[in-house]
Amino acid sequence: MNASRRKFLDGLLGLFSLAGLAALAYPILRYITPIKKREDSTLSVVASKINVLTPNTGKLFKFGSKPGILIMTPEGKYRAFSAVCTHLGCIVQYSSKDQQIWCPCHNGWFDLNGHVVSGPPPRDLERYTVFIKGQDIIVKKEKA
Amino acid sequence: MMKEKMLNWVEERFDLSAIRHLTREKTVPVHRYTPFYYFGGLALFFFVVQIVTGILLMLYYKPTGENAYESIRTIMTQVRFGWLIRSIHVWGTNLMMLAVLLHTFAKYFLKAYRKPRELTWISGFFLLVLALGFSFTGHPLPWNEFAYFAAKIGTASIGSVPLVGPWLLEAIRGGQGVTGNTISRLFALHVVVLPLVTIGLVILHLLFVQIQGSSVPIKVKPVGEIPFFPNFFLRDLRVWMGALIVLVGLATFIPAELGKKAAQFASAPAGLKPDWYFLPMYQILKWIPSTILGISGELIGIGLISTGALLILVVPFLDVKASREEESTWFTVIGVFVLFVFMLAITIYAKLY
Amino acid sequence: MRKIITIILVFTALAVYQNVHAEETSCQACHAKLNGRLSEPVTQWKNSVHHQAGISCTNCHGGDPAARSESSAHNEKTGWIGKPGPIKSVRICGNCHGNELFMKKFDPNARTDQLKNYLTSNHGINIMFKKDGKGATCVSCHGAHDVLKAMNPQSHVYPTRVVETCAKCHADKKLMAKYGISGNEVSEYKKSVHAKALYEGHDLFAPTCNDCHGNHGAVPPKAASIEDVCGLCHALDQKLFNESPHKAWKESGLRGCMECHGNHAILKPTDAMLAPGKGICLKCHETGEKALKTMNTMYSTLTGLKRKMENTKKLVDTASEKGMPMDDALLILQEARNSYIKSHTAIHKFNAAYVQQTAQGAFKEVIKAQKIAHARIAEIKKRRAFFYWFGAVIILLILLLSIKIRIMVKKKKRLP
Repeated sequence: MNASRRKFLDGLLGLFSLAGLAALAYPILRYITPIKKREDSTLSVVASKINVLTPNTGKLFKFGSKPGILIMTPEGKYRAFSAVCTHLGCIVQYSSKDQQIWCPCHNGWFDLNGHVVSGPPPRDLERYTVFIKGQDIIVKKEKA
Repeated sequence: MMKEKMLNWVEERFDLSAIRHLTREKTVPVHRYTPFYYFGGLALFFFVVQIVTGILLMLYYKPTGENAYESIRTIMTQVRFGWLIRSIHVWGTNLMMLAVLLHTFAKYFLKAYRKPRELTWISGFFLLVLALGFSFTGHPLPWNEFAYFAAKIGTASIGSVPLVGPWLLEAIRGGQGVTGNTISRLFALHVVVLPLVTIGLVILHLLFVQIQGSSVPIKVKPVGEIPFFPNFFLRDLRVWMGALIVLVGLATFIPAELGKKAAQFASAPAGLKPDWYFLPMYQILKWIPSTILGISGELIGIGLISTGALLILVVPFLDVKASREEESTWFTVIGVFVLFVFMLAITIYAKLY
Repeated sequence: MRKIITIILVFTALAVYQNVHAEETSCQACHAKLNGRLSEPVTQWKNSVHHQAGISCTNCHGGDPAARSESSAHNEKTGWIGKPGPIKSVRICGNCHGNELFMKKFDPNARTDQLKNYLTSNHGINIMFKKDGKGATCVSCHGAHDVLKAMNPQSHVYPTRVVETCAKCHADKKLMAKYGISGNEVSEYKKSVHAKALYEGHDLFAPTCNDCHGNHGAVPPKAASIEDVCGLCHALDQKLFNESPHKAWKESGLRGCMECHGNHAILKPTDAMLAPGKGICLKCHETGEKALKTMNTMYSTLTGLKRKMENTKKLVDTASEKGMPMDDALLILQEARNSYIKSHTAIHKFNAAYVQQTAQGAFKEVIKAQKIAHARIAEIKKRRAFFYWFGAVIILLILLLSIKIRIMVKKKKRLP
């Protein structure tokens, strides 16, 4: 009687030990499995695919937690800037008609070098480096 | 009977008497202070947790100025259970320090350092220093704002060590300032040098305990003894499982923060303080004026702290009474007031103000 | 004929220019030794842009800088004029500052239209034509001797100081009453969102007095131009306003932007301006009019959007406090903020459907952020559930182990 009870206890102990070990192993095994997603980074980011922009157009992209703007100049060259207006932080947009970057909040204008042309912005837009790798247009921030 | 055969096969080639001794003959004395024996095992458990989670973190962590923060970010946001592994590693540091300190206090008050266990105490002292070293070298690795200033301020005090200070400072930082080079160096220390030394010293420490058995406090008569294996070991196991629940619970409910990426020229965030186990040192350095009689205050502070540490190191040789198995009340009183009350008070003070 | 004029101009310019480069003159030598208001001009002038450009005392005051005695220096025969009166002083400044060829030597982009503009302003008309001696002249704003470039932070007309400079006269109610001006303008301006941007935000581009009234040709913007003045910065608002039913405001004798926003005390506009029953539209429109229905719809759209944004922000903060990284949701919220501002701009078209359509963009973004926040909060719950199961298993193990330990102790006791 006593012996069988003890056996039952040992059996239960073994069972729960296995459960406990499984609960430990599961997160570890899941952790070890490599992630498929592209690593996210705040230093460089894929802003767009090639062939998305046509000359004299622009588009916004996500750069870490801030928006950026990628522009194809009328000559077909890529340029990228921070899309956060230096005045009050609105998001700027590309104006194809004027070939300039425009902030709608207080009518601030920037040229294709990010320099202030007119309006209230106190500073130029931060410029990023752009290069093309395969099908991707990669935007890179100079060392933080 | 398969088991016996296999054991015999091994026995013919290697002498297993040491292991047999551990499993069959090692006992643990039973008296009212027996629970104090758990702290050492607890510290060991947390150390193993740190090794396991540390190895896992290395799978994704990249020790460079450009990538360190981003890789931790990836671990926290994209790797499955990455948040758990990192949070356990962060909380594990705190709990391990707590266990190590409790173990130290317990052994001090039980006078476990007395003859013939002086070497066990000394090896334990260095393990405590190594534990602090782990925290010191590991904290800056995520390269967030807080980590950056921890590295900057932490290493700065090394520079005031006489003669070799400036050289040592540059050697640790990998240059004049705290940069990406610093990460590489701290990383090498954190994951290779310190673990090698610590594991070696832990083995030595356990070997001492194994050879000499557990110390019984002065004038305490054990009511009996229980076999270490499996009786005491199962009790240890129970404590470890409890510790695991606490650890995983803390990691789940208060996950480690990521913070902002370090920026070299940003100003230090307000209210920056070191981890709680560094607070006594931090507060002492803060209290000492910048110069006393023409000597730099930092140097005096470091001198004071080193002297204190040295005194703790040589306690087995100072406490002559205890080594004669006589009660050394003075050491208990000093221990209560200086080691415990003072340290606790200064920690709380530093935390609040 | 034109050639002759050019030659004359070049020669006069050269003549002035040669006078300009004088060494330490007897004017400075004597006046520096005098007291108070007779020596101050020397130090003031030494820090001025005129000193840098080599324009010296005699260029304005005449006299002989090489003279050895006071009487020969201050001799009307050498052109000494002493302290010029208001009309004279304007002419003296204008002599150089209205001279293209002269000014271009110092700055190729220098403007030379100040005097021309000034003569069109009420200040200029009062001084030069009505000769009442009370209007502002060049020196009233720029200083007589301590003249600095406008963007020099020490200059009297630097953006953060120009309001006080105008206030020297325009806050004087007694003086202003003569001209039918209330004198409250400066104190009202200081309550405005523009003043807040200038003084609290240190935004040098925030409009001050001269940005709306002009600087040299200071005239009140007449009703006909007020909308264009505001539209310089608030371009989108102006564009929409011109597409609105209010576009004919001039004909109906209204004052454009000012009707709702005021002129000097322009406060930060709030949704309450459209609140049903007390909105600003009630100033002109009467209950039952279609316009009020538009107002109510715009109000409910905008406040609904605001509530939604605030609630989502709270949700995101909650998830963030519980340790979830929320960068992506915060980015979307920032974009939503942009659309939120746009939908407020959209009001100026006074078309309810247009406001709703614009707000739709913001709604879409906010809902995206909300979804992320909900997913993160669900993830937190999942994590905690995992912990509860894990904890339960381990606690059971601990209990079982305790039973086993107890049995072992009993067995041990029985054995010996």
